Amino acid sequence: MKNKKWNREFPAVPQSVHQSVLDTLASLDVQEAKKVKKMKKRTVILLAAAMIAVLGVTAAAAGIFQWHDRAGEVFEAEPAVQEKLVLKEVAQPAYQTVSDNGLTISAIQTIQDEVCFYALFEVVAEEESFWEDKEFIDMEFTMDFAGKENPFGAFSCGFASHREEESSQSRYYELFGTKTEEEEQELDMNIHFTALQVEGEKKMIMENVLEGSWEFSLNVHPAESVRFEINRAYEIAGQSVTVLAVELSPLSVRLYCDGADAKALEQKLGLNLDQLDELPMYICGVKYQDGTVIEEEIYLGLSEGYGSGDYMKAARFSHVIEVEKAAALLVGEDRVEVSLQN
Amino acid sequence: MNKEQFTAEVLHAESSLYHIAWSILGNDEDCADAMQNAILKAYEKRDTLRREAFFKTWLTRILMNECYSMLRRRREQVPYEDYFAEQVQTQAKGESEVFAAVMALEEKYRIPVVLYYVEGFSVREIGKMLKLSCSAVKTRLYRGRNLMKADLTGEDGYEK
Repeated sequence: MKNKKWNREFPAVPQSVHQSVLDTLASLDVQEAKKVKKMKKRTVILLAAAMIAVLGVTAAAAGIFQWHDRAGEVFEAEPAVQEKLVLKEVAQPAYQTVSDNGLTISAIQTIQDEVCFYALFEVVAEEESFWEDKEFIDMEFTMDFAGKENPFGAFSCGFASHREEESSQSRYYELFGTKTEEEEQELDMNIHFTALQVEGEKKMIMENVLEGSWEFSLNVHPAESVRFEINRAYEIAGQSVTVLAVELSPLSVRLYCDGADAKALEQKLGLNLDQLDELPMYICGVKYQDGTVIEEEIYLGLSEGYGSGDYMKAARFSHVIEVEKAAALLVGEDRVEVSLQN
Repeated sequence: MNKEQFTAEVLHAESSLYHIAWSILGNDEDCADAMQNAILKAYEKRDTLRREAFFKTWLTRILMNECYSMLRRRREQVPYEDYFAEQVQTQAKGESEVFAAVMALEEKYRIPVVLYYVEGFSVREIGKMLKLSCSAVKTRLYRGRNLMKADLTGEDGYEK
């Protein structure tokens, strides 16, 4: 899909910019001298950050049935729905806090189903000024699953954007995992944070600015989804596609279609899933029994492919869905209503 | 990597660096400043680059950080999309409809589209640069492509 012609559509480097690059390259010898001075300074900073003092693990308990505000915003879940999902173990409070070397990290919340895993941590510094000069920050950590295989096919993590109204001493750290299709067992996940890193002067390469040991144990489990057997052909993007089944959870959906039909659609539209293309069977929303439509404004596709011959597309909802109210799934540009009747 | 190798690598990547900086900053003057700062920082830190094969990806990430730092300093309270639209309007570049359609995309689609379709970075490389999962990059590329098609043809639809 990479098209060399696209490059030709973009403007060439203007002479003024090219000259600036040449001038910069010509000045590199001066930079060499500066580099020696700066390295000495950095060595001192790293030595000063070497003290470690583990203060222990404490438990906290509050708002058992309500999610943390941050998690509620990420999944756009109303309080009543939050309570239901805590009872169904889709959402679980974590209640673990570890302090070390002036940094206190608390595991606050996990939210998950058979497809998605989300964990929220709060990282609190002793001094309000601690975060001021740290722009691109991250945490170094390791994960293990008590000898079992890593259940995540894809994984991303990072600090959430800090907002004015939040405490200036704290930052939120989030993990998002997409579970592999085969992963259906309950696992103990040990996550061990070992350093706070910044990308300050040393761009791209993260440096440890504060080392320590913050270890947490989280439960990874497949909160149950509801399977709807469909076995009905729908006209999707001008092609008849038999939808075999839909697995729906409050957080995500898996759509199973006949593999030959999906291949035919792929061919008809000139797409190739092996080359980054995506079949236009994305999830536009869920229609409830009372006619209300929960629009999917941000399509969050997670994976698609032909695992066992059938086609499967998995996507995460941008707002939590009430599965028991669902009457139809809206699929594709034409918002085809795939009826959810068992 | 010695100075001669570094210089050759930078010149080889110059066009890509310019396109990427332009897609974030939208004007030549800021692009020149960001590229200058990125080159100096990369040279200073070149010993930290473990594999020279990743030079272009590494330098691109440094450049992008530099562009975003510059934006934070300069745009003050103006929302980014307004700032970018104004910059692009005052520095119209040629007549290319494709270029105009890419620049009309929202930033979250524009940057992955430029990195993938114009500069040929892989989804994995783009994910690392933008701190996104591969599936998030693919989704943004897919949506960006559809938005461009709608813009260029005046109709919604799929790429054929």
